[in-house]
Amino acid sequence: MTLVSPAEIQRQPAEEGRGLLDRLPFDPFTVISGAVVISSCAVVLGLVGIVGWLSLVEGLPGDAGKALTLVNYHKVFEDPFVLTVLWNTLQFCFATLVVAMPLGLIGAWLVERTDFSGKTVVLSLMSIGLLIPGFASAMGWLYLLHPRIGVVNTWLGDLFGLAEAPFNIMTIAGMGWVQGLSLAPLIFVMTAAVFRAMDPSLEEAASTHGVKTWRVMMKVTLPLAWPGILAAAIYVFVIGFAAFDVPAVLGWGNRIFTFSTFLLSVINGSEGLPRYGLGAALSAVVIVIAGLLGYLYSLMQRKAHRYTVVTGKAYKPKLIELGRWNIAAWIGVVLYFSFSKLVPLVLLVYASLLPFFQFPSLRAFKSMSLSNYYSVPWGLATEALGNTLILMLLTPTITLVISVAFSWIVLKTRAPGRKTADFIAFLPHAVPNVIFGIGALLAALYLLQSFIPIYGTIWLILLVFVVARLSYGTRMTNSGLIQIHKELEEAAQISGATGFGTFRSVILPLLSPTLMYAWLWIALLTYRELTLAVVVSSSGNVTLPVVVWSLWSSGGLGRASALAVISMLLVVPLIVVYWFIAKRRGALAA
Amino acid sequence: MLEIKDLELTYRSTQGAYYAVRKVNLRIDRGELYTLLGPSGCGKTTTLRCVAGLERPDSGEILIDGKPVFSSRDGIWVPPHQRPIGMVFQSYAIWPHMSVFENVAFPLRQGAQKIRKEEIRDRVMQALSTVHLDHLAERPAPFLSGGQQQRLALARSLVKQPKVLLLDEPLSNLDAKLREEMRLEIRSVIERLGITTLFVTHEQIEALSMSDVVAVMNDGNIMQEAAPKDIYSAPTSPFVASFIGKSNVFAATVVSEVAGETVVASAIGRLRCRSPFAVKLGDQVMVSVRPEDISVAGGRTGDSDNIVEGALGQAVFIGDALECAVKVGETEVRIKTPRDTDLAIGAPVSLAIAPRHCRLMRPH
Repeated sequence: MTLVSPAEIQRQPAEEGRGLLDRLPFDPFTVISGAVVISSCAVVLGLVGIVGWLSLVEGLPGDAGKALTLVNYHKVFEDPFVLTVLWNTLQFCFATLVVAMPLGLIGAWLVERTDFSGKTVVLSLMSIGLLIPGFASAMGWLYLLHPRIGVVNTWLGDLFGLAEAPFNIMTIAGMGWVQGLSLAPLIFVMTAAVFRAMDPSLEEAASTHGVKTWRVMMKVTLPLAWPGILAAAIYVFVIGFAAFDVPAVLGWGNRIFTFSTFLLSVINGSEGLPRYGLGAALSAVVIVIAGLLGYLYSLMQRKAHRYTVVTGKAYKPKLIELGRWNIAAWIGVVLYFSFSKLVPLVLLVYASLLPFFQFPSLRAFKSMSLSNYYSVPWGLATEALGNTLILMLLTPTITLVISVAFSWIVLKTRAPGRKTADFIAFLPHAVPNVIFGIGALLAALYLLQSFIPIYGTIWLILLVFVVARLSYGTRMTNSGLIQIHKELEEAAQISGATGFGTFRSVILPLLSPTLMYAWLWIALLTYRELTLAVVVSSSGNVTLPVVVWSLWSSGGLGRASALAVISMLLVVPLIVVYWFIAKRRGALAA
Repeated sequence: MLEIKDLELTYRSTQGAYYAVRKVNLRIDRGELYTLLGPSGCGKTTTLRCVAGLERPDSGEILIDGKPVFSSRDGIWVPPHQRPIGMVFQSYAIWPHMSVFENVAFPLRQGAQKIRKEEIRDRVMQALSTVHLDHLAERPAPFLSGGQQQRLALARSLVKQPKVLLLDEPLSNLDAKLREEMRLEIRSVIERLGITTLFVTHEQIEALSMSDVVAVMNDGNIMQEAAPKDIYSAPTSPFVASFIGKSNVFAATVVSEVAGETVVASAIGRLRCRSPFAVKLGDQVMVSVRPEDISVAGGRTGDSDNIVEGALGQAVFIGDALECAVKVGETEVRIKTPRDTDLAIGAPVSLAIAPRHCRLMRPH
């Protein structure tokens, strides 16, 4: 051992003076992250697990110690009505896909592969389109194509003297149409990414060998993009199972149920006692279906990655010149947005001003007033708005804190089981969200009620919302963290920063643009979320969309429309902020 | 002073374990610039990262000024943030969300002991002026050119007055001209501060021009360690001979050994050589001759030179010289001659090689 001069000791007091935490074998920051990850995984798995467990218990599972039984599954597969619901759901998902796929694909192709002049418009409207609540456009479509009062039906009937309404939106096909229009942006976002990641030289190789443009598209572009397109299709199909807004608004009144709406009617006992066992068994069946689709999805994703040939080269693909077709593309874009958003929303506003819905006429315009706006149950609505605002603040914040912990453990440590943790965080993407809602409801009612009375509070909604957004949150933080060069972090360590110090002073500031963007997006989704809220809400914890829905389902169409209009007006400023942030991130430029 | 003893590190993957570093021993004296040179994957960067504490070795010892920061025997592991080191990364790792000043101030602001604001300011400005960046202190770091970022990284690594400076391929992202400039600048800063430096590179010219000691690494081992001039002129293995500069390497057998002069039989005939180690008759050895040490014999040659007859196969003009391939029997000998040498393809040439330029090496 060499002797240390006094001067050297003086220069090095830091080593002796460090706190207890620094002497631990593990970095405390990593330990805390690990604890967060483990408990989050437990919650996610627990919510799925409780659904599985309750599907094996007969009657009300309140009294413990009941024998396990398959009787609920018998009910699922023997009740013709349940089978009808499943069949309806499959048809609904299929119809949704048939509508959404071509619209989203064409949009993605226009933005990524052509010189279309309205790219920013398309990108903006597509992302804002996802934020407009499904129930609002469904209400608008009902006013348009209701078999008796629908504006289009009345007009066509008068024009041609038809005895029967030409269109009926209150059918499975009608629901699929509306849902498809509103999910086209999702297909757009997912397939645009596929087109963007493709190496243009593969296409150029084909065209330099004298192959015509459209043949290049059919023979090279599409086959290369195929796994990505299929993955998007599977994802949208699974969403069809979880969709509540549209089937509820259009089908509830006529008892045309899909999986989500039927599940709700079963568990809130709209026809007699709540049948939790049946709901759980049905959910379990859907989990299996979703599991199979999810497996297919991951296969497709892997294949897509194999195909992407990520070169990191910054070559811009050669864009197809639209020429005169540019105008046609504009017309298509305008038509799509008119049909999917503008016309339904205009009708919604129109309906909200009328005492009862009627065909536009002088008499109708004369009877317009704000009375629906006055007669909204404002006490309930403001309470709901308050709840919604709290959820809008807390859901994205907590989701992102947990997501950062996940990404830290998964990407920056060699913790055992980190891959599994990442997979579990991804589960809410693959399993219809409504099932997590059911799981949380059952857990709150039967497991937690005695010691954590969470049922009927917004904390239950918060829990479900956070779980539902976890897959999006972790995907965002994962990609954000991967982009931060490892050496930036190592340089901080070498400079004397502890694990937490490195995180706070280097990683967090560099991650913050991603976090801000993801925060805002989750907040906006929280604002419009109806499905999960309606599952776990009771009189004490309503949110704004739930109030709209309950007004609507109890027959107050005018007041429901008024409140829907108000809730959309309220969120406009936030959407504007989102638009600016997205624009600055370059998310709105092709 | 930095000492590494019996350092070993194995990476384990599903395909099995492989040695990244095996039994590396080295010692860098105070103020010395020591370079690890080798092809990619040879373990040089891993060794450096072990010193930094960014990799955890399996076994061995690392001592900085006699104090262990890692010792498998005594169970000592000092995390990177507590080691008295500074490091310049290959990517520079300049934090883009901070200004130039803040980047350099960061190491001073970490740690339990609080440093006064004025002192931080003074020390940062001093570090910045060492690398001629003091006029850019307030500039956001991303608005620097490549060379300026490189200097900033150097200033940041020095501001804490570390005992050991680690340089991980710091010049590989610069263009050729700037690289030449920075070689000199880094060398002069290190010399001025007298800081013990471990430098990792795969560029032999950087290693030779900047270092006090060069160690050539291959496959996790240090093959040879010497001053730049010695390692160039006296490689002890075929790998070192052909990795640093170019070499003609032939297998040979010792046929006579008389008073320090050894004669071997090789593919290009009998050669009189100098042997740096003891040989006996019949030993299998390797001979290495550098292309620039072979001259075209124009009739008159030194008595002692080896003369080899061959035919010119190919000549390539490379600016300051001609690089030629001469066929000697079935073997090709690469030579480098002055650019005005008069040669015709296919014509016979005789090559002169001084015995002191024929270096014997042990095989393998």
